[in-house]
Amino acid sequence: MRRYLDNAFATLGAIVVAIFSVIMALIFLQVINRFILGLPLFWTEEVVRMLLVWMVLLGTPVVVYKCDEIKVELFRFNNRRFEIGRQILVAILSIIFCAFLAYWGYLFTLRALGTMQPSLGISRAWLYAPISIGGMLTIIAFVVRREDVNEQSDEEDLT
Amino acid sequence: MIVALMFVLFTVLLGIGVPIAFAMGLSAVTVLLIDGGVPLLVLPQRFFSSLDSFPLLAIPLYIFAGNLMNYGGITTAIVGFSRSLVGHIRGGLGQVNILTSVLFSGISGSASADVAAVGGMMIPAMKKEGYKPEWAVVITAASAILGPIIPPSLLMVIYGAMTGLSIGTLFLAGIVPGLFLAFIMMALVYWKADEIGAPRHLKVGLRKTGKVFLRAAPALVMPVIIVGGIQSGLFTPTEAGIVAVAYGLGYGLITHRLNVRNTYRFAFQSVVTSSSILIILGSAALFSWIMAREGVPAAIASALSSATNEPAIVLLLIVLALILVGMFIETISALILMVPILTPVAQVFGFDMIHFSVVVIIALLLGSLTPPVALIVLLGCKIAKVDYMKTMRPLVPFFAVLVIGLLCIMYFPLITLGLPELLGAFD
Repeated sequence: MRRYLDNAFATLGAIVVAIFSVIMALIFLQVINRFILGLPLFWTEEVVRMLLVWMVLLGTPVVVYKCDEIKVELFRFNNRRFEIGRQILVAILSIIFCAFLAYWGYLFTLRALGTMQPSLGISRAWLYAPISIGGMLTIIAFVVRREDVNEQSDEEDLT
Repeated sequence: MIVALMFVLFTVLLGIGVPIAFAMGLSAVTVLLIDGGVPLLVLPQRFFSSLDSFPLLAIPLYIFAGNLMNYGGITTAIVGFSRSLVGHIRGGLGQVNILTSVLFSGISGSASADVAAVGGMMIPAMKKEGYKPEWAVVITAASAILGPIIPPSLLMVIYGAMTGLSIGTLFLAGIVPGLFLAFIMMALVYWKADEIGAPRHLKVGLRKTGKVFLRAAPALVMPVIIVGGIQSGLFTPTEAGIVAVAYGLGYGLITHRLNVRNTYRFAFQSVVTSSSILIILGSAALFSWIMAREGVPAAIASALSSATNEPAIVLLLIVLALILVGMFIETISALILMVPILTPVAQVFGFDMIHFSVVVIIALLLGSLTPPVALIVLLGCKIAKVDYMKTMRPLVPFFAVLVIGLLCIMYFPLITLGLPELLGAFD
């Protein structure tokens, strides 16, 4: 099971890297174009901005799965049971926010279904969809990830 | 009232270890639910509009470029060059460490990247030569704060994206303060050399210096490409990022260190790091929106102006508050939290916004060096395998010197604004 999860999140990571690559290629094209080609590339910047939102929101579940999110670690309990309890509480609180984000992001996307992004010729829903999708995937990441409860005590053993 | 509740909630959530992004988001959503008046659709709307920004793309690009250059072996070359330049000065490798941080700042935009790359090489070398490891850690961490002061700088990209200030001008304004802080830290190492346990090296000949310079030169070219490219109007900061990435890839190919697998690994790391930073920006948007709606910046400004009408004292109070915030919250998150509050206040008191932003960034970085949550010191301790508590004593003189440096920068705006003015960035 763990292996499947690792693979699933590695795949998500690969998708995010692919988005990043497309972003880089488009910005590169924009620079080359300005100095050499001179084509009217008005759409690159908008596509790139849209992809950035996708990249960040699909990247967040990967960050959470890897336990790499930025937080303030003021304390950890030495008691293993308390520490697990604290981590579960943190996960639940984070999940509540992600659920808000996913739900209201979904409604926001629905409202935008009918409106077009004139310069790109696509529905504005494409711009907002990652908020909801990212929220949901982050909830999954919080549920299935495995935090290292013993990290602190390991360090103490070394010193 | 609503705002007070939001801050209490945020502090409690942060205290039990909820990730900063979700702690900010959840406290904002909770008070909106209690308040009732506003539909929560504002959450995704604010979230989206704070991320929908072209300049922010510079963040993954600068991180990626720095990773590529570092892996290509540039850090080794920089250390060699710094050693031949300042290794013979009293304080030996301590001086080398600081100069390396200065040069490394030109390819990296964050303090933790500096500690990992420079500390990873310098701390073991310093320990081997008999330096006290806690001093090695502190020198590394203190000089690493130059990373986000000397361009390129992730903090300045975020600052510019949030306020609309020119990122190119911010970059220029950071150069002289960064060099100035480096200089006074080198003076401190010179003075404390005996306590640090620093042996001296022989002076390196001119020919050898030239040789190592050639190897380190690619690192010196990168900030020139970025700052020069932006300033001359050739590229935007984001486009300068892609040029830096192309340059980093080219460098890695020439030094034959880069392969597809490693390139993917660094791209992945850059994306993960950037996502963990940018998600905070998205979640913080609603938080800042509520503060603006409740008139917090205006209230702070009027409270300050009823207490004093001396801008110099206001600036001092702001800096003290920033150091305090920086002590507990990681620098980028602290910046995202504080900028929307402080910008209107600074405008009321008529501060120059470019000068003010450099002061804000340095103050937050000073806070990040201060316990209890001195992340970059902790990172250095991990590399050196030193007890965190042992670094407290050597940290004191460095902190004192940096505070004096910051006071100079605060009250002599010429240090920040001189170079941009000279180069005509304000025209």
